[in-house]
Amino acid sequence: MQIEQTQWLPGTGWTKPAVLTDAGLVLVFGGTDLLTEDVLADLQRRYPRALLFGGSTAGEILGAGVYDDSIVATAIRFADTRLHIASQPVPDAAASHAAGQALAARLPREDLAHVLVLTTGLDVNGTELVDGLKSALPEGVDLTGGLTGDGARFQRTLVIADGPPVEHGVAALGLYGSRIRIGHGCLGGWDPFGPDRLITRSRGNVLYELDGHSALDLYKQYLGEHAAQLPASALLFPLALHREGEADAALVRAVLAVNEADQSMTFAGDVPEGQYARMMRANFDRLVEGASGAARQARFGMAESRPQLALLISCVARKLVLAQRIEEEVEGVRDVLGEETVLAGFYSYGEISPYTPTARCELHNQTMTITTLSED
Amino acid sequence: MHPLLERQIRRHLGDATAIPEAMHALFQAIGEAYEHADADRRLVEHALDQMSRELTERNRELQRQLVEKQRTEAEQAALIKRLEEAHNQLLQSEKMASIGQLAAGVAHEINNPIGYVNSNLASLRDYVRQMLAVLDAYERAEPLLPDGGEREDVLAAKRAAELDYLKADVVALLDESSDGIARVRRIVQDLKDFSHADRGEWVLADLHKGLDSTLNVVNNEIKYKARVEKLYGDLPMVRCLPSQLNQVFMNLLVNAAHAIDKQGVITVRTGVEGDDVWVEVADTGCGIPEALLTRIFDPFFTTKPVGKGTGLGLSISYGIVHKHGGHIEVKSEPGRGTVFRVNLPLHSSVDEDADHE
Ligand SMILES: Nc1ncnc2c1ncn2[C@@H]1O[C@H](COP(=O)(O)OP(=O)(O)OP(=O)(O)O)[C@@H](O)[C@H]1O
Ligand SMILES: [Mg+2]
Repeated sequence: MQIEQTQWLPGTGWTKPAVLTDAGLVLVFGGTDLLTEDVLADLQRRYPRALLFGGSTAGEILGAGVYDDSIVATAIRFADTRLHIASQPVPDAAASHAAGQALAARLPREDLAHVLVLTTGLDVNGTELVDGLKSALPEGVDLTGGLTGDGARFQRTLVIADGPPVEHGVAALGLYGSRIRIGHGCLGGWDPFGPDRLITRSRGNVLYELDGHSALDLYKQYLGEHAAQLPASALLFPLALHREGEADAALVRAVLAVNEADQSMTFAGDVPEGQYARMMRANFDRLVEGASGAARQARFGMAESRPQLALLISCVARKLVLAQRIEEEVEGVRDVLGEETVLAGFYSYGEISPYTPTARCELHNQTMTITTLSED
Repeated sequence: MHPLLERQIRRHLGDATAIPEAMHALFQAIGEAYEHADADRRLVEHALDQMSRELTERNRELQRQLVEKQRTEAEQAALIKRLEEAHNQLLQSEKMASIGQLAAGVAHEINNPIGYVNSNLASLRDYVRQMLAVLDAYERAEPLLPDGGEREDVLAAKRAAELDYLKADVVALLDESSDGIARVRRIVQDLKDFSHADRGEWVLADLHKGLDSTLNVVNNEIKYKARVEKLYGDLPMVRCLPSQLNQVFMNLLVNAAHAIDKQGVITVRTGVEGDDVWVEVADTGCGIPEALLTRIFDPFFTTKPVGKGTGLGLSISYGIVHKHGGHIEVKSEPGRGTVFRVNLPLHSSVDEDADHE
């Protein structure tokens, strides 16, 4: 497995010439407005044999650096591993489950080792999508990936599945063969605070009321001056969801959109009525620790093999909180994986991964999710 | 630029213009980091403030719920107590009803034989009087008998029979028997009065009659302990449930007798005061300690040994008097005695129908 990375900057263009011209795959992550058909055609010309797989971001990861308004391309030539790309439109959130099922059905099952998934980040119910995918994938095949982003704007998200960018769709990359080794890890680093609140009115991933009061009002009260930056500022207070009496098994949910007209908030995944929600807040040290922890989980999953590539999908909320210190979490990952592992990835609106190497795959929010790859 | 950074630059470099061109971006980033940290701190402080306000509010709500819960619990307890009282009264009135029935039945059965014993006694007295008159005539003829022989026999028989004594005693015996029968008749009448065939009927009644028959019924309990003094005033007829009031009087009289250790006096007074009639039962017994005065009307409160008292008497009395629109007062001096006073309104506004169910 050979890898090379290059970056596209406005005004500058590609910063490095293409050397690995027979690469079979290019992972491409970039600012929403930069991912034009022209740029992608240019990239395809540089790597004529490669499948393009990627999407829009709320920040690109290249090595130990984090960038905005650029495009990062990571070209990979696998020695033995075969690839298959499939995509599926998702017209609205209600279609999420069916889209997941249809997408998984498009991937040949034989020799399938792992699936990477990227989906547009707005208007999709991540929980339903993952459930649909899992229901149609062969037993034992893991799934990692995320929801593509749009800076802190929450307006337009894109996925690229070896074609022009798509605004409402999901793409899957199947990795085939016996020599590919995959690890994954996923950790948060947010602390719950304040009282448990009962979800009294919701529909799917749309939340209306907590404890019988408008959830949006509650957020505005807590955000104070930051309420003007909704929905992005709501990411500062994600929700920890749990069933009654199961506070230890909490899932984290991040806000994707607010609707003043019906006083609702749309989350990246389900917020079921009857469950309890607790607000969470950032803890700087634990965010950075969480990233290193995710890297340790991913490495642990690879056993003997040394990861050659790590795909980092980290939540936009972490970037909003850590701001200029955001690179500390990527550095934390590099410290665990070592200088030889190539780091690529993006800041997302949601992460898809089993929580631990043995757990079921879920949609997560506010986490750093890492998929490590190597070829024997 | 962030004010702190500005001050720091002034202090350490003298003037912002002294910053070399190449370092502008650096200072810009430092300033932004300051601002971000400030915004962050404000957010945390604000959220903390919000949370403490919210928790205080929830705390208050919980306290309010607690008070509310305690209030409904107190209400429930009161309700349960009222139910218990109603239940006890029901038990007691059932008990009294069956005692009344039994008494009325016995009285009825006894009445018959008493009737003919009584009339037989009257005839017997008449016969005896006539037979004695005949005997007198014979005695007057006695000297006409010749001496010896038959005359001796008659005199011997008269001596043997103590005829003079017999003549005097047979009349006395008959008088006593008549007295006895009269007493039995009175007791039977009292039993009937006490149990009252009225059961549950509101009638105009003479309380003195009720008191007298009750005194007769409980005479046995009282007579070895106390002398009863009756100081009756002038009472009008009172609209009441006589058999139930008799129960009240009986309980007060029995309590009074129980309170007397060896020998004492029970005084029954009656009178009218304003629109009320009152009946007082006073005793020279042991009295009631102040601390217990509030409890004696509680159902099942008793200081008497098991079998002697159930502790229901006063609670039922209270209920009955209350039903008549009246009330019971008690005054007691431990060691000297106790006075219970039953006050009943003459023109009660009681809903009499309530008792017909
Ligand atoms: N005249 C009194 N003198 C002293 N104590 C009295 C007198 N009358 C009532 N009490 C006290 O009040 C208690 C309650 O009286 P109450 O008539 O309710 O029940 P009781 O006489 O104990 O039992 P019951 O009447 O049911 O057979 C008595 O046990 C006694 O301690
Ligand atoms: Mg008594």
